[in-house]
Amino acid sequence: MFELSIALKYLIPRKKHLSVTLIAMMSLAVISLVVWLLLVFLSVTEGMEKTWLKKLTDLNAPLRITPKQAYFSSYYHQVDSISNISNFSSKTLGEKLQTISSDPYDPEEDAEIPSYFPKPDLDDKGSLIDPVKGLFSILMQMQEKHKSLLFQDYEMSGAMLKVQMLRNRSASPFSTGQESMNFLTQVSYLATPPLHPKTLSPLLLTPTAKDINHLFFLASYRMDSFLSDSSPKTSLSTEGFQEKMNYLLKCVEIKTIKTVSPTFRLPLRLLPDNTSFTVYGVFRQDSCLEWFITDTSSKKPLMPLPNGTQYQKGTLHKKEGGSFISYGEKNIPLAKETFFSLDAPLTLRAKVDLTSVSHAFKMADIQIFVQGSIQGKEMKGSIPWADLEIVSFTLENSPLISPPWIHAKSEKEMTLPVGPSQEIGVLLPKAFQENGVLLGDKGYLSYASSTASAFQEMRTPIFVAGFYDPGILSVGNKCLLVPPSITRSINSCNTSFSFDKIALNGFQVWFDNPNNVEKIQKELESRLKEAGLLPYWQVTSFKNYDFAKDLLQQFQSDRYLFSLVGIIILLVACCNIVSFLILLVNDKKKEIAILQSMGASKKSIACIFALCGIAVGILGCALGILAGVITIKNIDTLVRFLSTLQGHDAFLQTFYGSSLPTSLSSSAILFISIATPVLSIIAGLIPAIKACRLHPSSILRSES
Amino acid sequence: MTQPLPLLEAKNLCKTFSGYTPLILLEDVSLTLHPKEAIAIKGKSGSGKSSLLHILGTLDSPTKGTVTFPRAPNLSLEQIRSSHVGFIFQSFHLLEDYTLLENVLMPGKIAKTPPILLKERALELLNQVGLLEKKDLPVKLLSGGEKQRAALARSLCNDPDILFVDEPTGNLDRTNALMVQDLLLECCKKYGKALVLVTHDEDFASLCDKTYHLKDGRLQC
Repeated sequence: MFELSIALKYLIPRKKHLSVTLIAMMSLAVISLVVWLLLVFLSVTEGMEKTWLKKLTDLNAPLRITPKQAYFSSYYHQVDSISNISNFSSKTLGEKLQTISSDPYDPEEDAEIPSYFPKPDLDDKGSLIDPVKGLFSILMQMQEKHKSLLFQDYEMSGAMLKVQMLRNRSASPFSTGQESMNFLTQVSYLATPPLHPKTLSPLLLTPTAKDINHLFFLASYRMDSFLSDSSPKTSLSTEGFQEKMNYLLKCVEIKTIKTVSPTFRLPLRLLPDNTSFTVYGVFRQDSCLEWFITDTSSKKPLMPLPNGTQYQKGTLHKKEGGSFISYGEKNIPLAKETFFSLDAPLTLRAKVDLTSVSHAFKMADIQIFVQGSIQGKEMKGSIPWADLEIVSFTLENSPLISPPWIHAKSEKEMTLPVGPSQEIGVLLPKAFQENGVLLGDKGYLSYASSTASAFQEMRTPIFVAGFYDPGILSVGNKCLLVPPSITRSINSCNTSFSFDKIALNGFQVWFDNPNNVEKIQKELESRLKEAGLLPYWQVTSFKNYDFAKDLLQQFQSDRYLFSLVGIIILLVACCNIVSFLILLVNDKKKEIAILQSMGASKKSIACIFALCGIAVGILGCALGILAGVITIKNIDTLVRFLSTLQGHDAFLQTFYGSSLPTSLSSSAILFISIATPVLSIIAGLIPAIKACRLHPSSILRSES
Repeated sequence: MTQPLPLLEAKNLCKTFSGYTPLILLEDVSLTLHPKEAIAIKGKSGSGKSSLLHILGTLDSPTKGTVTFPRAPNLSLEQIRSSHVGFIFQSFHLLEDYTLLENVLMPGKIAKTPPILLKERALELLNQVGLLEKKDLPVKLLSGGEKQRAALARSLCNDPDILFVDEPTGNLDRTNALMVQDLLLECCKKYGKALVLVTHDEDFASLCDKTYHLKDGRLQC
């Protein structure tokens, strides 16, 4: 195919055709740039959308089954309010599931059924239809078919949350006596967490070093009457300190610690014998106030000095017999219990001496065996747990220990812990963590209960057992995940938060691929219909959740908008091809005429230039995709660079998550690799038509 | 005895250029070319010789009149240019970015001749014009005479019936001109080609079977 060989010849850059080559390079660069930009943008938005959707469906389940009005007006639901067994109160779906008999009414014991009462819905055999157990058995059947299917009943409620934040005002996390108390109050939604590890784990934030430090700090305190309105009494308490420490040290294995500047003093005995170190003395006239030891010998301490003092360099000689510091021509002998100041925090490997815990009454009584290096020399030894901060740690995952945070009770269930004073562990959304709430903080949920004569405020003690990421739902940052027992007791105490009753209680259904939601929904509905239970239940997919519908529709329209914008940008980029090809046609006029004189058809001439256009388009597309792949793989580095450049986070964590998506969107690649060649063909058509309309005779004569 | 079919028949050709002062270049020109016939067209500069040649060779279309190739009916203009006619121009018009061999191969590639046969033919032609050794040189490195010989080899690549030659020696010195002239006539004889030659050169023209004069747009014997 001679057209291809000629097109290739035209595309190879030549010095002689500098202008054409430059324009070709520019077209190539612009197309690559646009393709790169589009690919990265589309991949990131699609990845983010997927992350948001995953969070949405993990937290709220892709499918929800809620009771319809027919359920609430049925005899099955209402009968509880007149039967003694049910304590004359309506039951939640979870409670209904646990009842032995579908009909708790006992004609002998209970009052006569009023005439206005609904008639029982009976099945073919004449027994009462049980919508809850019926639904449960259908879900069980479906679980056998779809192995990944999980379901759980949920309840929602609302209450006022008050968190009491006991904090240490000093720099050292475990120093006591400088504590302050802050409060955080928020009206909150309460919801049941998805308890299967598969759905809950991805949403949970792992405890940070700050959280763990806080837990150890709290161990020194006792908080009395923390349900009262006034400031709770907090007092340093040695009571139960050893038990608390033993318990925490079982749950957390401390790996490394950091010294707290400037309070930490490094004991001389930690330094290895028969070595020497560079030290800096702070001198006022001739007397030395303190000695600094820096982590590297060449560095002077960073600490600013008080007026009238100055640093003087010296050498510490650590000897078994007796250590001394030499500076100038003087030698100062050192006592065994000499301490050195550090100008910067020092990170050390650490292991808590568990035997010291058994007779400790405060943190400083506990000994930690540390290992690390200073000025390139290894040091080790035991130091008391004071002016130290935990940096890294591992959490014990054994189900035998029940740690004070959310943990897996078994492979299939996670559990929220219960504190020693029966306070219940709850999960708070990420926003609370950003507002300074830490793991272990205590507080209460306040709600109103109506009695015969008045409303009475009820308080349920809680503590923070973890944080979760609610994604970008608008209500997410106000939604606490609490055990069903709390929502149940709040809902039964009347409704201080009057929700739509229907939305309060229902079943959530999870499965592996949320894209299958329509299929599963149809199957469930048809099974419910078969069992005659469809009138009682409303099956809603996540696409129709009230709180998510707008967001999902926004995603959809964003996708269309981005694709449209993408096509327009690509079109503009391909316009470069037009100018390149027009220039090429003008440059190659003579050759076109010669080829025509040798019998090349107009089609062939058009084909040559169309091929040039496509080649630039495809090459640009390939280069852009390659650059896109490299960018996406290194997006974190890029984001870090952008953040450094701007001086603040380039991407808000609330929207974009902790890191941007790092996988390429296959649909974006498909879109780009179809759109670019098609648009470059269209762009190449104009110059191609121009080329084949040239008159060979006039060109050959004018060129002679 | 029936007259053999002519290779080319031009009837009543007219070429006018409309404009502010309309220019009549050709007026009622008719011409018949038989196989192996060599004709020369002479005339002053600007008399329309080259235009007539281009019209005859289908590179240009006449304002009035027809050019037919009775031996190649039903062929498109491109097919005629590709397989029935060959051109040699005064300024060679070789493809500058290609080598000599590639230039000679090009008409064959356009006509989709099988590559093996094509190469064989191109090498034979290059040998004929005495440029076989320079086949891999870029044409821009060749001298004028060599370029014109290369153009001759290229025009013969697809084995055309007619060669249209437009002042082939106009840009060459005397020695090279004679060489090209001899080679052209020799090739036409050897390969049995008809020749339409446009030239100023009386001597060259006199070597052809017929000589025409183009004067005031009319062709005279």
